[in-house]
Amino acid sequence: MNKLSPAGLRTACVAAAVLCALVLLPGCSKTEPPQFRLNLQGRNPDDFIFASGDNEETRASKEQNKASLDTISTVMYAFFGEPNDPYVLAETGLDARKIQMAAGPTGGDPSKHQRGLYRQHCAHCHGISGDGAGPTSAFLNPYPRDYRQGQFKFKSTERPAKPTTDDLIRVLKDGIAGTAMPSFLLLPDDEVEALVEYVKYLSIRGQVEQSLTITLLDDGNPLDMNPSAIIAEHVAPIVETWNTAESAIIDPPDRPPIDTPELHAESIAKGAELFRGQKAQCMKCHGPTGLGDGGDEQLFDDWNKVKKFADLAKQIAAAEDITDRAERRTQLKQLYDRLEIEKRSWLLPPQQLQPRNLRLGVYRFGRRPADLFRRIYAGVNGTPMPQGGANASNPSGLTSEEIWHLVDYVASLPYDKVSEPGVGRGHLAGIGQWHE
Amino acid sequence: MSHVSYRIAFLTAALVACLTVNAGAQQWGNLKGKFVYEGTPPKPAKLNITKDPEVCGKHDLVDEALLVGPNGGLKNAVVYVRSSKTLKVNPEYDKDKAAEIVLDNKNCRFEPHVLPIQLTQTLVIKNSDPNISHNSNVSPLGDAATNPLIPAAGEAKHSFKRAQTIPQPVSCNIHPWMKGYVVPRDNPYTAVSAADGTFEIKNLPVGKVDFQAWQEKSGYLDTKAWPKGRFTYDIKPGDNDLGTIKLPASLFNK
Repeated sequence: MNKLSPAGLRTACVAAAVLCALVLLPGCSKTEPPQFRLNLQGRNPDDFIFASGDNEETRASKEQNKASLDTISTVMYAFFGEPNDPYVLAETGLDARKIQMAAGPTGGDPSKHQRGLYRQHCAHCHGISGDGAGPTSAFLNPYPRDYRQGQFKFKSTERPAKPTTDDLIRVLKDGIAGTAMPSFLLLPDDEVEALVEYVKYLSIRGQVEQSLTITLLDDGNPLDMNPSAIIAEHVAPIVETWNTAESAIIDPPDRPPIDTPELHAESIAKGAELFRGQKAQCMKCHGPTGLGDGGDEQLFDDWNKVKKFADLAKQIAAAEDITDRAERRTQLKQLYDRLEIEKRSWLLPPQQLQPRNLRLGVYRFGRRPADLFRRIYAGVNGTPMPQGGANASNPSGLTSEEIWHLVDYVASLPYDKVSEPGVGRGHLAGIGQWHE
Repeated sequence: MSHVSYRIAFLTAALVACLTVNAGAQQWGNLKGKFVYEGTPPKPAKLNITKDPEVCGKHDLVDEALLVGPNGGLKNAVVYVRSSKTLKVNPEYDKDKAAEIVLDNKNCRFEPHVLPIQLTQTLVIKNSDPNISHNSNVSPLGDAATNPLIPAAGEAKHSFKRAQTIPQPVSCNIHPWMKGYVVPRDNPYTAVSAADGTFEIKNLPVGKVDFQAWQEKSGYLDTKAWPKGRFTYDIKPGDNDLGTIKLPASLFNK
């Protein structure tokens, strides 16, 4: 891996190793220490592996791809270290003490300081690399979050912004209702904070890796190996998005009064009208009665971008109809071969997204009116749930008054007569008029 | 003046001199060509309009992934200059630098279907359809994602921070058949082929320039002559013609 030899990087490497050695006394593990997994970002692994049938040109291109991977892993090691010996680059602004507490093997160090919290509580689902592909992930729906894209769904900030530290602490303490994410309320505050810091570390690490991959593999451009150039181009812009999260918090404006039952009922009725109306279009996915049954198309979030699979499935169906037998066989074989390759380039099979059933009273990031306001205003980042609220860049969006009516309507749904358990489907007949 | 300041002054002077000389010597050329689909032109499939049929149902919408004209001309293929820090940009393009580039939700499709945009420009997403809202969902690789809800007659703005190597899909989740592409680039040299398959990139710097060619259905236009859809062309002053670029039908069977 030290094929590459710009002096600056090597110095950084050595510095990283020395620092880690000083901070973390070597443990007494007998097994191979775990490694961060390289992120191929959905690329076909065959692009990096020689095959006997490759011609000179293909070999050269694969050779170049492999060299690029070498460069990426060298830089990643120099800047971020290993799971057992994380290196905290000063430019990330992360707290090295907290990272040490969360990183490494489970247990205490010889001086009884807490270590390995991430592996104790998180890694089995979120993976050593924070790729959301730990051993248990395949059994969960939704999948655990892959931090490496730097995108988060549940936060109090504007849609493109990062979550604040408090948002992440809240997710850890409350868990995420309706998912496999449990509550870690019983952990001491300093341990929760250490874990949040480590999630940021993994996320920044993942985004830097992605940035390098785009430059080297997608653009096919060489990397300026000067460490300060790499930091300026690939690290600093990502750190900046974390530093500005606090200033992007959505502050819901005062709501129209609902202090009498009449006013409240009126607001709910207005919300119901909007829910089914052409401006907000909520019904198109969440269904006319909010059961989450409005969409007949397959929806995917950004962590499950599988349009390729969907296209292939359609082509396979089309090829099945070809009448000429020989032609059909050749076409199908080609398509199935491609499907195999596509499947291998994904860590986990794609998972379809369900529009939320709003009658269950289960809210992933809080049931408070302000939480629901933010969900409608900013949507859910990385998903088809759009950014509904009006702001400077989209002045024609929903006004805050309209959002408050929608909040009142959505919040009323679980208490609607037909939402009560044990009530037969027949009671839905009255609202059947909303079904097209 | 200290020793260092002298050196800076000298270097600046040298740099300015160098730039002036270069600017004087810089010549420009245009590159044109025509994409032709080899084989029986496929008939675009009719789309199944499941949402808002009273508005979207009357437009005879078809799948625009592969549009071939009667003479084989391939529409919506993209040719662009590959990223390079030393690329020179003709000052003619300066006036468009901060322009607003419109992507319209019109007749329940994206207009245009493929839209090039520079990082310095602002994307304005409009909704010209009567009475219905659209959303425009784009999540470019390594850049902030956006997905605004745009009511009828509304418009939303967005700017890209990162040039993309490959056109990025835009979709409307309310009307799931709607699909388009944006091509955020750090230079103005991007062309999208017209209905007859022709394209032209104007005012390229003279000398060897690396290009990339892409089409929605094929991905990179990966031919023998253009591995991974990449090719280098030695731009001469004036007009340069790639002629007819024949693309076998098998390229689009993906």
